[in-house]
Amino acid sequence: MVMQYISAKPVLHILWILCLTLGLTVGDEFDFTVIVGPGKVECFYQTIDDPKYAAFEFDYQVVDGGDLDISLYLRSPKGIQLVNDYKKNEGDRRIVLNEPNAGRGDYAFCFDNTFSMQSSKTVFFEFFLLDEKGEYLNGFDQAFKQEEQAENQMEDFRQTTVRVKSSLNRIEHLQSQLRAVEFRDRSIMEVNYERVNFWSIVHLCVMLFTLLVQVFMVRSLFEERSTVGRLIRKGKLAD
Amino acid sequence: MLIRSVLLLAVLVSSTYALYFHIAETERKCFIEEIPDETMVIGNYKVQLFDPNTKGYADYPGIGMHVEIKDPDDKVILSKLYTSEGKFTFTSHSPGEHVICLYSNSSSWFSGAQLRVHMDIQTGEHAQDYEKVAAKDKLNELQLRIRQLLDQVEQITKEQNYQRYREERFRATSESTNSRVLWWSMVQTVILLLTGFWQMRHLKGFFEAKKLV
Repeated sequence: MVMQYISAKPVLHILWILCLTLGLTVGDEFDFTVIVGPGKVECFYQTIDDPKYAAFEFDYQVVDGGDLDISLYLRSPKGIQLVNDYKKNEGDRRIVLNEPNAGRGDYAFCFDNTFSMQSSKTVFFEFFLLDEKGEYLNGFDQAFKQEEQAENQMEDFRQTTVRVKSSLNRIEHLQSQLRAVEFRDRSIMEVNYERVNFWSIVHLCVMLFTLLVQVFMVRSLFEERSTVGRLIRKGKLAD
Repeated sequence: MLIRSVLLLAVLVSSTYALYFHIAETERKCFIEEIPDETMVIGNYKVQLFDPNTKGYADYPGIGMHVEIKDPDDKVILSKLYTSEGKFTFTSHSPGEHVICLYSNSSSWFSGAQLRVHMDIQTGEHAQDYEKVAAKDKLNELQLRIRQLLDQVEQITKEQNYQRYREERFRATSESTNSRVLWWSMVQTVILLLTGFWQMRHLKGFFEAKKLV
């Protein structure tokens, strides 16, 4: 037994080094905020082939830019278009992987901003890979199995902590959705502020300009020497 | 111990990088991360080049990727050239929108080709490497799980505080816009009355000078 353990040591070291160099464990959920330029299409692809996932949930929201709308296309690995949203502000979808149109492989989702030639849209999207129970624990419920003593207590502990983790995940999900909504409302508010300032100044300038033009016109109407006055009185430049 | 390593390795190997997208030669792809302060962000990426012979994407070690990260005040906090597979990390010192931009240095590959970039960005406690934490603080399995839950709760609290600060700024802008609307309307009415008054006085003087009145 001891001889076997000693010879397993280098394998262990290699495994640990491999684990650390492979980087972090990729999570079951992620979110990104991207900018889709005017007249552009931005496509993202997600590879789902792990059998432990039963469904995935995808939600997006336009938080800044123009009329706050974007078109979304979602294609399954079989090339079938599962989602075709045209000029929506937000949406969310849940795709079950065992459905005939879905399947496992590379899913493509594209944000289409070709209908707008002047404004770029900032889109926030979230992606959740769910297991059969509809949770995304990211391996939190694994690795409990190694403890041999106090099985019952471990089982209670495991269930409680898994429930807490699940609730915390839901809290995080709601938080990021609220954050996206707030970002969108803030964008609308800032645009309104700019608009109020801009148009008020334009209004003021137009008023002052009109005032001066009015005075000038009335004066030249009664001035014999001015061409503008002649134009107004007689309708032609020369007498 | 061995079983745990094998399990971890199996989990790591079976999950590839999360998302991938294509970028062209001089194209810049940017991602916005809105995070509170003192939050750690880690990004992993892997780049593959389109091989016209096999019509697929393959690894090509010669590609370099430029990563540029800007903080909410538009100051560049990270601008480094990485190899075709890299990891970048930063900690935010001010709350707000940080922009992470990727673009390639297009020197050593075919022009007009497309790159496939696999990418994953994690923030807060998702960015923590718990194996390292367990090794450093010598935690057993139970302690590690509790530590994970505690970190997650702390991050949620930080996020909530940040949202409260954001909402305060939003309310301030909203009230400012509201009072501006009222103020501009009053100013415009006053100016309208003043200019009308000035016009009448000026023209009256003009007509009197012309002896028309």
